[in-house]
Amino acid sequence: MKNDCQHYEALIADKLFGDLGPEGAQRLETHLEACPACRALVREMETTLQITAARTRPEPSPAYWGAYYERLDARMRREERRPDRASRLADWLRVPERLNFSALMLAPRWAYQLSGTVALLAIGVLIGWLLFGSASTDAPGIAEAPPVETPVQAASLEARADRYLERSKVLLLGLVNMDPNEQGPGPLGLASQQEVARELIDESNALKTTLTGDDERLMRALIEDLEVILLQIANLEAGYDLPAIEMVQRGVDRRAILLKINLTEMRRSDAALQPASVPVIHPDSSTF
Amino acid sequence: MPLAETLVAEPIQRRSEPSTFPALVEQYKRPLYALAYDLTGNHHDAEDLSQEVFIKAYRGMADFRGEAQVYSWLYRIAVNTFLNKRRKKALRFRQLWDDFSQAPHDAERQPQTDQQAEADVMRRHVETALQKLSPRERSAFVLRHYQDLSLREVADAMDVAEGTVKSLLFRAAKKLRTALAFYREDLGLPS
Repeated sequence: MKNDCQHYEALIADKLFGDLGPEGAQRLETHLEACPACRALVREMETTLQITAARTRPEPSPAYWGAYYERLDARMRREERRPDRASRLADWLRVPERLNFSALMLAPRWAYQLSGTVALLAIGVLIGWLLFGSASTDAPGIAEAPPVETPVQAASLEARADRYLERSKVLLLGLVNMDPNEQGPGPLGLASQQEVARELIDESNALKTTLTGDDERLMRALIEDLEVILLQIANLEAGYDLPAIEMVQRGVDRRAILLKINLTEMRRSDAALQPASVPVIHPDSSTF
Repeated sequence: MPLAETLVAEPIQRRSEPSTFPALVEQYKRPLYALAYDLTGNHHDAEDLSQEVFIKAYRGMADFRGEAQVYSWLYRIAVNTFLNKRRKKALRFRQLWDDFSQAPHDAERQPQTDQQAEADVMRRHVETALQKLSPRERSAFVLRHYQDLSLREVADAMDVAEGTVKSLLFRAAKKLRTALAFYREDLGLPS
């Protein structure tokens, strides 16, 4: 493509996407007749667009659409409970709108001085709040902050989630590798696996309510997947229910649970290796 | 189906009462998800983006002037949100996840025929090629090529001039031509 050809890029785009008028078509045609490189380029682009047009988008299942609003609603409620700094600041700034300014006009001088001092203090507190990120500022008009997770609590939650993943993986590996033709329900067999599965179900519920951040979405999705499998394991018949065990094995395989656990563990360890952000220290915490 | 075709032609009136929001979601969840899927190339980010568009629409419903059509309003929110998103950190894992994950559309999938499997492979190739475009190139391409918006509508949704859209479309088509060159050869198409 020569330098001169660059002037025809817009016309080529028009031709490819069906926006070319008669005058542009004439100009482009004249150029293409004289320029084999552009002619080949246009032809290749046209066939490329035919290929991309043949792509079919995967359609989610009816169950996915059925629960779409429910998930959206849950997310909106989560976000409402955690107002961001901008909206908290906006709330704070809206306070003067509610004041009765006509009453203020009649106030004595000392009232102006006092309110000036209060305003300066408030600005100082606000600047400190913005700079140091404390979540427990008592400035008037700012909504009550949600409980702030201390670094120790966060680390404990991380460890708990890691332990949950590890135990689930061991449980599923044992189940997936169980040879139905050779292995019967021994003392360390199905019954103990079901006991572990029940414990993990309880842990699933606890983790799902604790891991509420957007960055934990994949973890929550994995927990939901795991819950289905864990419930199936916990509800296996007391005897050696071979078809049911095979069904669970297929479920683990179909949902690629073990792979998801590995990917999640990789992601979590990758996140842990990221340079640590400035820890949010709760002012009331005595752990630091 | 392009979002534009699924919407009513007349502008909606000012709607601030929350009771209309579920109806809005019901009407637009599929086309918005489709747009978000085209933009992001994977299920998880598509769900995330489409939900974010609805949340922003909900918050902005009272301010919606009704001059524009709903779909162009939603498109604009979707594209702006997509372009402003910082997803680089998690993208690698999400793509890996999606490659192996049974996303909801796959969860109940029946065994595929050869033809379906071939279409699935082609879809993945095209989506991988689309990921090689810059977010702005991808936005322009998706809106024009897959969502069938006019040049003017694409320019409005992206808040750029029509000439800029043409330039983005040209660059997108050129990059895709390189990324899918092997396909043209396999299919015996001009290459």
